[in-house]
Amino acid sequence: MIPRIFEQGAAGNENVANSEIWLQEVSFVKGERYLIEAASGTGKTSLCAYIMGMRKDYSGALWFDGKNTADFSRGKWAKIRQHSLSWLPQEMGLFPSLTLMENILLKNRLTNYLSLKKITELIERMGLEEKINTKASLLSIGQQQRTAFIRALCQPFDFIILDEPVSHLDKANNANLSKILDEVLKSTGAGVILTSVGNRLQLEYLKKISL
Amino acid sequence: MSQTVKRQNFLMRLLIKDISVPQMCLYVFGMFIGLFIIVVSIQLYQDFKVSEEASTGESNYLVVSRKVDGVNFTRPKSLATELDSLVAQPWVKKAAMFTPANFNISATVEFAGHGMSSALFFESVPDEFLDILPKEWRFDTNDYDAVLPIIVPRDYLALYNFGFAGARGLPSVGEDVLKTIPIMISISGKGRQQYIEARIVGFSSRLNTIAVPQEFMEWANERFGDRGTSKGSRMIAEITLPSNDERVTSFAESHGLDIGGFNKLAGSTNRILRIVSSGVVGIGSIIAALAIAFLILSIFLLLHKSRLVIYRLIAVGYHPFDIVKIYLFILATLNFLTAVLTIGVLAIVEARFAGIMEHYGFGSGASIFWSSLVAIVAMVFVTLMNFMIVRKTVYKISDP
Repeated sequence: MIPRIFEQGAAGNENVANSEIWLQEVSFVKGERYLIEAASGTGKTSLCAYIMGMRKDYSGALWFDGKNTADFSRGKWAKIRQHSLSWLPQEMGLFPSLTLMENILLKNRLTNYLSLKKITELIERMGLEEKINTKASLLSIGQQQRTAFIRALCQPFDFIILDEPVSHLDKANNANLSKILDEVLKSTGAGVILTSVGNRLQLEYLKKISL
Repeated sequence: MSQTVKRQNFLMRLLIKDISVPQMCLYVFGMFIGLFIIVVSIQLYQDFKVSEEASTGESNYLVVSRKVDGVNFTRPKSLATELDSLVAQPWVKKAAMFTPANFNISATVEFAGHGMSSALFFESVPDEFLDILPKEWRFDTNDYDAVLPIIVPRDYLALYNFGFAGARGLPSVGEDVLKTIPIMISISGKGRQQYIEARIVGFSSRLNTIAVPQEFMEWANERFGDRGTSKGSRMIAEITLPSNDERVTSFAESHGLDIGGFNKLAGSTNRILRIVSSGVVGIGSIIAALAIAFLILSIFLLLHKSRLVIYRLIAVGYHPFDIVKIYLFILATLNFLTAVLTIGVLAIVEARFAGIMEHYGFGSGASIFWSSLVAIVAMVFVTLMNFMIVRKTVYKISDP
């Protein structure tokens, strides 16, 4: 697989030549923890969007459970995004006009996965309880990141894809988030695909892949 | 946090946020104007068609009677043989005899404190020769309380209003008023007499007689007729030529007949009105098309503005069709409102102007069913079109 934008002159492109993903065959196995490390501009965010089926501007093929995703219908993709792949995009993807709680419920009502009690508990553990009724547009970037992370947990998944999830978090919040993620991964047996340019999750057993 | 809020409400709130209310109002207003013009033209066309159907097509009519010279004391000879030769003419579509009354008739009218009594005459022709066919045009011979419907020539009314009433200081009356005046008719013959309430139900521009329904005439002639069997001495014919055509006048002359013609002016008037109304339909269609184009543009703008919201909803796991459904609901509501508004205003206008139309002889009386159906079908079509555009655009956003 390679983004079309890298395709021209791929041979001479350093990003592609040294990549362990572009123009390579890569498998992500459920239960494993992957860290994709690279400088910015090498296509991390593109890769995440490709895996989620949100962008198709690449050459090559993406297989999911032995099936070529090129044949997937919109309905199939919607099901995958509800039940198999969870995504915390780098730009968070929150809805500014909805409150913190509404942003979370918007997802949870689609999947009916977490109880309100569990959601409230997660909000408290993330230290956001005072912001429950605050509009997302009024949250700080770090608060938005934590909100988007809780939202990403409101569904069952085989993989959770976290695109720079802690770029704006302090050490304490980073540790907090890492702990919750570790618990979820352990209890569900799901895998994680993490991207990072520097500040990274404090997670153990990471397999590093350079992009 | 209230749990009773439905999932759709979040979606609706997110998607409705970017909708411009003035834009949507402008669309409903423009669409209403366009649709209303279309529907009114269709309604007018229907009204004209009804009046045209009632006046049996676009033919010309001929009233034929025997020529009278000097003073004749015997009853005019029957035209039975002339009817046969008239029907045989290639320019005659159909012809029939007038049935005259063979009994005595007198009428009494009480109006505005004045009582008037007069001897009268009745004639009847088959309904197909009438230029108007009012809904009261029937007489049940078994019903003692039946009201006898009468059609009088429109000219009589003009004669009364502009001649008689003016000269005698009597009030002039309109058609609608005249229709409400009860007339007491006395018919007698064969030693019998009967009073019947009668009412004027219409004004004919074609027949220069006081017409009653054929079934009444047959019944009354049978019961009261004491001047032998009624042989018609006037006939009416529907012809394909103008009544002053040479073929018509030479036929009349050779058979010693007098001809009164009725060239159907209304026929050409209707044709002109039909052209005008189809022109108006065209204008209405253009306005409606512009309103639709404006809506489509607004939809594109709206979807473009909501592009990021739609993309994020899909990333969260919503099916693009969940989003299409919300837009469809909003658009269908707008279109439904437009249709209801159009039909409502049409109903009011039709109710308000039906009387006036009838007064001027345009027959009116067509139901608003067809025009309403056109409005509904048009809005269903517009909604379907909106649906297809929204679906295509949202799907395009969902698979970049």
